[in-house]
Amino acid sequence: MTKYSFLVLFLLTLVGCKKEEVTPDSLANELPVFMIMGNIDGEPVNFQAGVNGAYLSTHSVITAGVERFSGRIVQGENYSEFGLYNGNLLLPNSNITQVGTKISLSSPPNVALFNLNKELLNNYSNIESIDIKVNGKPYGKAVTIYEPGIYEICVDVHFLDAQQSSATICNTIVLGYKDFGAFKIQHSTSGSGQVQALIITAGQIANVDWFVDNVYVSSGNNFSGAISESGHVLMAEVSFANGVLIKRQVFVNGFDESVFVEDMMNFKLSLAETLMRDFKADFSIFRNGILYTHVPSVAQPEVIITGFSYYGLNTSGKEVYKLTGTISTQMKNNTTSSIVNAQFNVAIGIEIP
Amino acid sequence: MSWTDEELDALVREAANEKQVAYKDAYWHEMEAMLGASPARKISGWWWFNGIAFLAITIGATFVASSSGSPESNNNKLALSSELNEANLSNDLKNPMNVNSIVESIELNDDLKLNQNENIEIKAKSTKTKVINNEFKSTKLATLTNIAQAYKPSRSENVIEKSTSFNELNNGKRIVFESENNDFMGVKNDLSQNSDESSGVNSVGNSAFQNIAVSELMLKNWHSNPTSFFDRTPSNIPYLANKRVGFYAGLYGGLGHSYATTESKNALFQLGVSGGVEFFVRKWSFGVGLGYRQQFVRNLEIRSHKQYYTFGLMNVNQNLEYDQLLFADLNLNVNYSFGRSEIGIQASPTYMLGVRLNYSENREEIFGDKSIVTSVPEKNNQYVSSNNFETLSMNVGLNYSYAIQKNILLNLNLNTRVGGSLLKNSFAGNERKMPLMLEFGIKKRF
Repeated sequence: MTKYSFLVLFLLTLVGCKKEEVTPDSLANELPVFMIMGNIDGEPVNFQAGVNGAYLSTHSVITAGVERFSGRIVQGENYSEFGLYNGNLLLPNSNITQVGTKISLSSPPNVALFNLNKELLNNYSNIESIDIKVNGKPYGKAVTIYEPGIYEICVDVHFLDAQQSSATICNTIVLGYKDFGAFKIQHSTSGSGQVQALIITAGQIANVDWFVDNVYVSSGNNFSGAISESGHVLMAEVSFANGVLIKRQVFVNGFDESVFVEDMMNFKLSLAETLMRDFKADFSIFRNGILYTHVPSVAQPEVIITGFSYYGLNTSGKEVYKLTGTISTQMKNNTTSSIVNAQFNVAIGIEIP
Repeated sequence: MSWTDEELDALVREAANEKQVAYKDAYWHEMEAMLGASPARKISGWWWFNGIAFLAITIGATFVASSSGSPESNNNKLALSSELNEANLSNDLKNPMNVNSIVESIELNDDLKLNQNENIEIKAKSTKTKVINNEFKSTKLATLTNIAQAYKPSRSENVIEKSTSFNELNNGKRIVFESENNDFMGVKNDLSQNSDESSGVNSVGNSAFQNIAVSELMLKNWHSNPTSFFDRTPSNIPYLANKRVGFYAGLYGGLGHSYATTESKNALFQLGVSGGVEFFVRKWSFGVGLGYRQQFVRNLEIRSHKQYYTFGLMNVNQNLEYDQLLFADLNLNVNYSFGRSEIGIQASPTYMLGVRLNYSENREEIFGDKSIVTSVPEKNNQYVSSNNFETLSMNVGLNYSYAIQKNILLNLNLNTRVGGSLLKNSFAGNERKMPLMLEFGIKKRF
C-alpha cells in the first residue's frame, strides 16, 4: 500500500505543475511576415516589413459607399500597395473573407456609370430646373458618375405647370457593381386621377409594398390607385428573394401627365459585368519617384490567392487579415506611360474592421 | 546408563573430527565484513548495544548454565530421539536459528550411542537450549560464537585459542574447551569447515556439523542481502534471504555546482523523491524507478534581445531569471552490497518538466521613423515550459549506501550531468558543462 501511495503522490506532483509557454508575442516571427517581392520589367523590387525601415500600414476606406481594404508597405519614400474592394453590395451576409482564390485587378474608373441632367429627363420641357444631390452633396443641374459605388441620388425638380409645383425624390443606385436589387418603377397616369405603376426587374421578387407619401397603401407587383391633383411621392419597397430590400421613389400627378419625376434608374448606364468591381483588387508601386499602376486584363485573373486568414490587431485595434498570393500583371509607368510586365509574391496585411 | 563427562567429550570430539572441510578465505572476508572488523569504521550505537548485549547474555548464560547443572536438576529423564531425520533438517533450514535442533542432534543422535538407561540431566539440557536461543535472539555474533565454542572439537587443528566454558550437562560440571585463538577465529573455522557440507546434511553421524552448516547457509544468504544484517527477528531472515524483487522509495537532497562558472556564489540546491523496483541477484541489486527532482538555482538568468517582424520591426528585450528547475528522472542503478554497505553506479535519463522564472520584457516596434515602446507586466514565480532549455539530458553518478536499520539506507551520491549544455541559449555567464552534485538521501525498501 505504501508503494502505491508513493506512486500516486509522485504522479500528482507531476500533474500539479502549471505549465505556460513564454512567447514574446503572438504576432512575432523571426522572419518577415509581410512582404511584396518581385520585379518590374525584370528589375527586382523588394518590400519587407521590418527590413531596412520598411513597415506595413493598413487601411480600410469607404469610398462611394464601398469599402476598400488595403495594406501598404512603406520604405522611406517608396511604397507598394495592395487593395481589395468589397463586393456583392446590398447582399446580406456578404463577406470579404469569402473572396475566391482567383481575383482580377480592377478597371480604372474612367467609364461613366451614371449621367443625369435636365435634358435627359423625359418631361424636361415641363421642368423649369433641377438640383441634383449625390450622397447629400449638391451637384447642380448635371452629374456624371464614374466611380463605382452605392449612391443616393436626390433630385429636386421645379415644374412649369400652372401650380408651379415642385417635387423631390431620392433613390439608391448601385453603380459599377453587381446590383442585386435592380428594379425600376414604371408608371402611367390616366389624367383623371388614376395612377398605375409596376415593378420592372430581372430579379426574383418576394414582395412589394406600395406607399404614397410614406403611407402604406397596398402590396403586389402592380399599383393602381387614385392620386390627387397636387401630386404625390409613390414609393415601392421591394423585397427580393436574395434578401435584398430596397426602396425607390417616383413623383406622380394623377391629373397631369407631364408632372412627374421618373426613377433615377433610368439614368444608370449599362456596364459589362466583367468590368464590375466586385472583389477586385488594385496594385501599385511607387518607387524612385515613379508611380506604377496595374493595367487590368479581362482575359484572366491576375491575382492568385494562396492564403487568406486573420492575423491580428494593428496598432489602431483594427483586425488585419494576411493575404498571400501572386500577382502577375502589366503595370503602367505613370511618368512615361509605358507598360511593363510585373510579377510579385505578396504576403500583405489588409485591414478589415 | 548415563554418560560420563569423558564419554560425552570423546563422542563430540570424534564427531567433529569426522569432517575436515577445506578452509576458504572468501567466507572469512565476508564474515569480517559482517562483523564490522574494520578498525577505521566508526562504532555506532548499534555496535555498542550489540556488544553490551553480547556480554550480558554471555554472562547470563554462564550463570544460568551453572545453576542448571546442579545435582538437584538431574532427575529428568532424557527424552531421546533416535536420529535427526530430514524433517528436522528441513525445519532447521526453514528456521536456521532454532538451536534446539542443534542441541538435540548432538545429544540425541543414535551414533552417539547414548545409553538411555543412564540419566542425563534433561533440566540442564533444556536450560542450555534456552540460553542459546536467547543468545540468538539478542545477537547473532554471540550465537555463532557459542555454537562454535560449544561444538568445536577440542582436538581439531582449528582449535579455539581462547578458553570458553559453560556448564556441563551433567552433574553441574563444566565442559571446558581449550581455545588457542579468539572466539571469532573459532567461528570462522567452523563455518569454513561446514560450508561445503551445507548441501548434504542427511547423515545422522554428522548431524552436529550439518546443523552448523545450516546456520552457515543462513549466514551466506543473510549477508547476501545486507538489509537483513540488522534484522534480529529470526522469522524475517528466510523472507529476506529468499527475496528477489522489492520496491523502494527515497528522499534526497543535494548541493552542487552552479551551471554558471562566473557566479562564485551560485551553488545550487536540490531536493527530490524517487521510487521504483529493485531486483536482487546474490550481492547485486538492479534498480529501475522514477524520480521527481527540484533544483533551486540562483543567478541563472537569460537576457535576450531578439528582433521580430510584424507590421514593422519589433525589438524584444527579455529578462528571464530562473530560480527552480523541475526534472523527472528515470533512475537506473546497479549496486553491490558488502556488509551493511552498498556501492554502485547510476544513470538517469532526465526530462525537464519545467522551470520557475521571473519574467520581464520590453518591446519596441518601429514604424519608419516612429516607434512604439511597451512594457510587458512582470511575471513572477511562473512555472513554465521553457524553450530555452534542453529537455532531455543524462545524469550519471556513483552511489554509496549504508544500512542504518532493517531496509533503511542512507545514501551518498556524487553525480554529474553529461551530454551537453543545459541551456539552448547563452545566459548571463559561462555555463559549466558538467556540474557536480553531492547528494545525501534516505532510502526505504519494501
